[in-house]
Amino acid sequence: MIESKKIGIILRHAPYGNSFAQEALDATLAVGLFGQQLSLIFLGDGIFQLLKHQQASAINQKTFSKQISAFELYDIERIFVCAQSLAHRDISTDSLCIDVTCLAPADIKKIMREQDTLLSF
Amino acid sequence: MNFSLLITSPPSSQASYSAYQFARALLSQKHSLYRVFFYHDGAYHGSSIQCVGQDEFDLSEAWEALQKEYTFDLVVCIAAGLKRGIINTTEAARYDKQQHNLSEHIELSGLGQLADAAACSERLITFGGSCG
Repeated sequence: MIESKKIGIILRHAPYGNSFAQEALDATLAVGLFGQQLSLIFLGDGIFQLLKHQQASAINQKTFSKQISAFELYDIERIFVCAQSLAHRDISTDSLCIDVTCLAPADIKKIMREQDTLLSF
Repeated sequence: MNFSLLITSPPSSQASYSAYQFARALLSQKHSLYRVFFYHDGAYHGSSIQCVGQDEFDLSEAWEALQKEYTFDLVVCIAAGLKRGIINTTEAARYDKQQHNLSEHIELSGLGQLADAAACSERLITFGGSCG
């Protein structure tokens, strides 16, 4: 068993335009499976991954919101969203597919500082 | 200090050159490099059949030389690699493909190697994270 660390995963890309966000999600689940203490931080366009009512099969992709709804099966519970990123895009937390903790940029920075390692996607 | 690198950009990106230069700099300053994990389009680093122009820097050759000098892991994510046509003999046989192209000095392995690098290194530095 490998050592358990606090790992923060920063997700900054919108889904679907390329495979960046999808592969970030794959990496998140893999790192979670290896017993690491994960915190997910959705910033900027990354919050589009969290929107409800995605129907990606229409563009031959896997639907993000469905995969993200499975986070609780992986015991991924520390999920943070930047309040400013939401405000800039006029998105409220009601439009998101899972429960998140919404934080001001200064508090997001604090969460980042608490991590042993940050992975940025 | 013990470092690992996560490279998500292809060899055509400046970020990939910066990653190599960073690796060289840290090794020359007596730090150690545990693993370089190529993910996303970084998987293209695994191709042994890429040919660069005669007057251009050969990144693949440079990584190989650096690895020979200092010894560290060069790992292409197997899922990311296979999707992009980066494949070794074992996987070519498994998926019934006629060709294989993985560079000899690079391994094809799972995302567990990234989790392990994150857990075992004092610093994990991402290159190419903002592309795309």
